[in-house]
Amino acid sequence: MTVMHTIAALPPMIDRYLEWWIAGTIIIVGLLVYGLRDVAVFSLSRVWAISSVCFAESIRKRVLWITPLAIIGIVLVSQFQRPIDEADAVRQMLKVSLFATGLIVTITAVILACTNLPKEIENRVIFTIVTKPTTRLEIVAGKVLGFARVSAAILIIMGLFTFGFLYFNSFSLQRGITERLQTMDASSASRPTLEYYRDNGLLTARGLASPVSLQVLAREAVDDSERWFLGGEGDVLVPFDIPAELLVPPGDASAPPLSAGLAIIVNTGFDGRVAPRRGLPDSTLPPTIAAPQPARGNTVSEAKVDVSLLDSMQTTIVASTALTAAQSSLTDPTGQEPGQWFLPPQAAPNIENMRQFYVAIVGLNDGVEMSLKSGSVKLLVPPATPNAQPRIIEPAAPLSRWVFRGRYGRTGFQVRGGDAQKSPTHVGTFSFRDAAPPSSSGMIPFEFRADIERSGSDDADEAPTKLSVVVRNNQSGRQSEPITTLIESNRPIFFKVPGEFLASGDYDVFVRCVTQGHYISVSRASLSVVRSSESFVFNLSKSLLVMWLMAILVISTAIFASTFLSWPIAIVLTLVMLLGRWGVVQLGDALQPGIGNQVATDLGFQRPEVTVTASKVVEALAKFLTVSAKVLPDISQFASIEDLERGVAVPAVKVRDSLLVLLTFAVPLSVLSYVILRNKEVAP
Amino acid sequence: MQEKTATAIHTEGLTKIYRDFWGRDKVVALDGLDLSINRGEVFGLLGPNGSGKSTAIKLLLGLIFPTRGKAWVLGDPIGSNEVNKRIGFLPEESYLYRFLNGEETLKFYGRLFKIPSRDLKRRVPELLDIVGLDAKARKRKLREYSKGMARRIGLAQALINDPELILLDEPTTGLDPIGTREMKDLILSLKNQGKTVLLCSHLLADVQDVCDRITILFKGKRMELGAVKDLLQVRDVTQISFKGMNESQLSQVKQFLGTMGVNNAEITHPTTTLEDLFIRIVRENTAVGQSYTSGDR
Repeated sequence: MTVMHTIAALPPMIDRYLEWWIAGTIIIVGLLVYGLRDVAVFSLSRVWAISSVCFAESIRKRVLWITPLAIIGIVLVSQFQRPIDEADAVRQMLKVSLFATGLIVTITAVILACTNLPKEIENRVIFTIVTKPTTRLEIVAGKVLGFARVSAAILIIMGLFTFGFLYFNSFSLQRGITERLQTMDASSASRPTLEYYRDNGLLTARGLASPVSLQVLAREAVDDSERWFLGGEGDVLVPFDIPAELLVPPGDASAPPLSAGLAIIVNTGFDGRVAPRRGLPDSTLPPTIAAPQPARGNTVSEAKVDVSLLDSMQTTIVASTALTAAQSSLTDPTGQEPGQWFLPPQAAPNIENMRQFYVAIVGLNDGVEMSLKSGSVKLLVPPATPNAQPRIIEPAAPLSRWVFRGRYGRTGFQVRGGDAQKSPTHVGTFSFRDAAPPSSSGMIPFEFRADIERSGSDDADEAPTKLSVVVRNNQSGRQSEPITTLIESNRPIFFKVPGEFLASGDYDVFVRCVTQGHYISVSRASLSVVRSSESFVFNLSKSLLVMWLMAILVISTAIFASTFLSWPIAIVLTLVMLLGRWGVVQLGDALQPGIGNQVATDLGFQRPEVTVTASKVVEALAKFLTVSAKVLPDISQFASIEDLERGVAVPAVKVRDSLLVLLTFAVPLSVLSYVILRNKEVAP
Repeated sequence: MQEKTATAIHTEGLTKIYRDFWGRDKVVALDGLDLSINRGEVFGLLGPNGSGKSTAIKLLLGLIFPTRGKAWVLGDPIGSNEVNKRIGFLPEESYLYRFLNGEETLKFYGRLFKIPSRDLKRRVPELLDIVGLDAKARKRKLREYSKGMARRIGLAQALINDPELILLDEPTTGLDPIGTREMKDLILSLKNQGKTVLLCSHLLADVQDVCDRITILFKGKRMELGAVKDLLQVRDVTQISFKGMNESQLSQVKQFLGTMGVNNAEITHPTTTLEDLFIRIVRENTAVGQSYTSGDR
């Protein structure tokens, strides 16, 4: 428990870069302190010789025969696929090929690396190696390199097959696209997307730029001074970053933070013209997406607002019921009248949670458009003495960086569809910065993908979902004509925008769903601008490179486990180490503080002391798992198949991140393998 | 200190105790071995199975670590990189990569010594000739080798670096009498080149034929140490040999001994060793330049 507490109380600098500190310490102590003599005589030629033997052994034991088997499997599986169109066919073939490649390279790496050292010790071949002028460091490095070479050979064979297989298939699929376009109606929903594939090919690697933020608003933002949001749907999160000393009441420096409470001031405007804009038959919507029934009437004369506090993870730390509402009903549509709430000292959360947090604002009038301006949200720390002035605290970010959220849909925030003139609707505002295309002339393609949620009415179900897109260049202030396109659920579609609106790279894209009764679920990743196109071969190579780096991680882990375990147990430990962090992430909230109480209460012990003990044990276990996960490798950094599948260029940063995982995990683990092996009696 | 550097191997109270999982003493494999092996001599390490011979060799090679005591090889502490550069080791069985062929095996071990490729090209066939592996055998995978051929390639890898000290663990195991004789000839040839050989065996005839000095281990302890001829000498028996003596001369010798009071003299014809007889038969029936081993066809 003491160790746990020590870890929990680590300075932020160490806690934040824990894996780097641990990796650095192991490398420095292992190589520069413990193994300096072996480092001094380290020979790359000896490492290469050892690796060559590992490679020759694998080749002569016909390990590479696994590749034709995998290839037959891929070809067979691809025969049973039922793609919905040409792009989907390529996507599915690519997915199966890369999945099979990743699978065989990982399995091969685990088995080879876990069995090699224990078998060499068992059959005593190691006698003739360690009695030569080879250091244990060279043996570990040679084995890692040798099996990395085997993995590379597998990846090259599978990569060549994948390219050939896809190239051959895409050739005939592309011809099918051309034929379909010749007979297709000009207004067909899929025409722009098919044209894109015809012009750019099915095997593309698009270089995409993503927006820096997404705000789900009620109206297009004209500038950075005002934002409109829709009452009854979603909320607005205003970020604050406050050192504890600023929460101390002015006039008494010795008082604890928040001892005088905290006032929250919100100036909210609203548009009272509700009635003409009604028209959406909300009662027909399914419960998952139906908004509460909006207020009926010609106008709204009073807007109601609710406020709560969320921590940096956007979890509620002070519910609206814990706040004392001094003024939450607003009658001034221009927002001059401030809404006021008070956080009493006794309701204040743990001060650690009040460093970075959000003030969440919810409009309670369904369908009423409300506005927030720069400076319309602030906090006020009441003074401790009558003579002192209250301290005013401004948000940590400007209005353009506040989080305007719609309601949660299946895959993102819901953007409500319909005619903006007849009913309240949303506009998804994607802000791009430094995202200029290489040329501002011509038409620049955008890729959009969203989940469509429809109402329960038959009419709405059958109607295609139409999107209206407007781009506004923030530097020139010019705005494009609306571009309309049809979208399909969870399928990428392409539309083109004149390049002049994207010049300078500072622009906002306003996306509306104009089909009544349809909602689209969007996230920041839903929209991207296609800035460049790179060769598929290069992209495939990058993906295979990332896979190879993962194979090296697997090999290092397997060799580490095999230095002190028999090979079957080493395989189990290798898998646990590789999947441990992922597993803890899957447990998610189950490991949050408080889980001990929850579990102990659920178990229903009769005696209170047993409940307390059970709670502490579960808490300690949860903490142990959380801390352990921190020092295990993050294998999600090696996921590049998805990019390739989507036809998106694998970003260089992914290769860098994979390398960083290798540096922080594979290298120190190899050093540990060396230290263990050096202290190991290799004669059984 | 001078003794450590002047000798090829020097041990002081070298002890190895094998322990169980809980760290409790299980077996005392070697108990306080004090030993000095001079440079340039052939030294035999004798003892029955489990006497500590292999443990001593493994300790000297750094394959296992001593529980107590110290040892120096060619003046350096055991297991160091510097020591390994100057020694050759033939293990009890040829623990080599069975998927490599003879040439590849020697090239691999040569690379571990950082021997330049140019030198390896010359050295590898030279060594294969020395140990008697012909051109066909060199290209065969080791897993196809007979036991005798495996010993030969094992010996070749032990000599790849032209070592100053060669440790041979049961070098004649698996060899037929011709191979055994060749091995013994090779050991003597190494001695003539000024190299030190540590021979570990329980085949006493082998040791007797080639070793200058021996030590006998029993239950981990050193029982005897000295020159072979000294240790084997029976001091109260005298043997005089003559060639071509007839019956009459023999009877006169008996009479003379009787006059000296020696009445229990045993007079017989000497016999050759079975090994010598076998070698003579095989050599007389093998054509010049032809290999005699069946595994080498």
